[in-house]
Amino acid sequence: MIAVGGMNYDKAMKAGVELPIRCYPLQAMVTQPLKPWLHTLVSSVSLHTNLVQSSRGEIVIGGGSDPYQLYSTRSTLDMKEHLAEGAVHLIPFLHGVRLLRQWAGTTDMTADYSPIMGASPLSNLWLDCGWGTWGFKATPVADKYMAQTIANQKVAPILEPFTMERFATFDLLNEMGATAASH
Amino acid sequence: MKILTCPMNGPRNINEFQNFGPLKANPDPDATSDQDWARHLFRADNSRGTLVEWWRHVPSNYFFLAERNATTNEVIRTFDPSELEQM
Amino acid sequence: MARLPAPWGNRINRDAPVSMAGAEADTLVQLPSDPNVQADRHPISAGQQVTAQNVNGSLARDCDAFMDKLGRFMLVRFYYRTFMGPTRNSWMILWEPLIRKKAGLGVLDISAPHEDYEKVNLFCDLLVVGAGLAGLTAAIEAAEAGADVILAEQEPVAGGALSYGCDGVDRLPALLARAEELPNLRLMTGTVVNGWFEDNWLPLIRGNKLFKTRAREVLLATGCIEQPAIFRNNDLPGMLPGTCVQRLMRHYGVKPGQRAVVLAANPDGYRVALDLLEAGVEQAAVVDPRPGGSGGALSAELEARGKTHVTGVRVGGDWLDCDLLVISVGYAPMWQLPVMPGPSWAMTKIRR
Repeated sequence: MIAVGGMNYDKAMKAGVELPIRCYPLQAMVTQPLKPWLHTLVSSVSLHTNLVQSSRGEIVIGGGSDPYQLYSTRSTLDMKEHLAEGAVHLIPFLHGVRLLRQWAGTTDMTADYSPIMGASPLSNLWLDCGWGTWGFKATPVADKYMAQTIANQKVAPILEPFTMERFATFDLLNEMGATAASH
Repeated sequence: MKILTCPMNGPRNINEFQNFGPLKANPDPDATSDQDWARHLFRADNSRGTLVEWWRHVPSNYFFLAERNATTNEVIRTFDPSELEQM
Repeated sequence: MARLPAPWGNRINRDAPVSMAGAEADTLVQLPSDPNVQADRHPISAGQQVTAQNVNGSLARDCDAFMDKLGRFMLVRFYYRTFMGPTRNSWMILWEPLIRKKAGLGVLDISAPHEDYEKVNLFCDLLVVGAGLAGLTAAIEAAEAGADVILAEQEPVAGGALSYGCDGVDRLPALLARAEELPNLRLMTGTVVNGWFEDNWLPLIRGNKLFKTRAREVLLATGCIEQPAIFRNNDLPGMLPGTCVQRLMRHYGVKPGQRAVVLAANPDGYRVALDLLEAGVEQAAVVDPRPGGSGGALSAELEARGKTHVTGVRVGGDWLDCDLLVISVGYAPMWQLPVMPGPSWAMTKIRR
């Protein structure tokens, strides 16, 4: 099974499988540790920003991907300004909080911003790719069904809409299982 | 902020531009199978080397092409679409 | 004073040594509307309320101080191994709420008053980062050759080591006077260069103002930061880097102690010792750990004594009483800026 995040495209190409994926950097940043007061995830689709306070007290701020494909994990001031703006819109009293660090990771995006799960054109090669959005949140339960799929050698019914054939049959998902604010 | 040199407007901040993805050959809709048409729509160059991409300078609505390294983000050159015919 | 292991933040709350250069997290304090303020960077004002962070009780009588003693049992990944049991959802209902109560440092003021922040765009031919001897000289030379120069310095005064050291300090007034005369040289003190992004796009931060700067060329003259010596209990208060002692005396007029031991492995250490004598600080010893120096092979034998403040050090078996241990053993370059986009980028940029 290919499930290597931003490396999925390269790995599948080695097996001769062309994935309909393009790689984009996804940036996030954290503040200095604060006494925990935010015990839920706050996400705004219109501001493309989400916030969560970790168990270290750092507020993790994430949001949309970079506007063009790239393998470099450099971060940008543009995204830092954008995320800070979204965070202060959502929670105004964050304005004086200092940022500790900012980073980027490579994410794979499909044309419908939804993951590709299930069989590949090769026998015994399974795909679990395209988690450019929602990856950290949805993969644990999705992969429970992937395990079932591999054990039964048959795609679990709940995963059927996510197979790669949807791109050949024009059955694209309307951003199901994805969010406009990736995290 | 990164700078992109527009062939018409000169060097501008990259937030004035919109990316339209890698250049693709235009297949003939009448002579293409459904499968190849799907591939044309959803597949794009995702290599780590040099990409040739469509960009648009938004305020002037001018479309052009750029050669960009997908790993280092270095823009090698930008050019007007008319140069495509000479390529 | 509790020293919590990594998942909660490293021993941030011990009243530990300072650098006076904003280089450590040990000085973080709470102001009423501002958590995690670096105490050695923040100008004091009359009536200001300052409290310790992340202590249970007070800093002197911290009920969580026992955590210091547990540090040796809290290894890397301790967090994940320990808190899964005893029952299936213990993490959710027991451990996570407990850890979240202990986590974090300062307290965020949810009624913090509104503040205004400004953004400004700047353009220059050359941005020089750091206004020490090297940065000042380079900025002046470039400006005299006609370039439009911005010289950014994070300290409130220009001069770097010339402003607190004792070597070559007489060169500073002439340099500052030359810099002042040049209309195309803009000296920005109290300004942190916060990053170095693609195509020389740099955020300069001064107070509530962000200067988004586009520089044709960037010159780093960020200097060095002093490194600690490695021995047991080397993080007790009262142990200060040599440059910190000089900053305390020359910038703030503070006598750093009454009786000092100076650990000097470079000429700067001896200069600090001379500075301390001039300030009336008694010298218990100057110890040189280099072969042929007075201390011999010292670092393994130098062990600090005292629980909350250094009261003595042992050098080769002899205890020397002191309330200040000055450490001058070496420097590391301040190269956070070129490292930011990744080391390969940094290396090519530096070699260029």
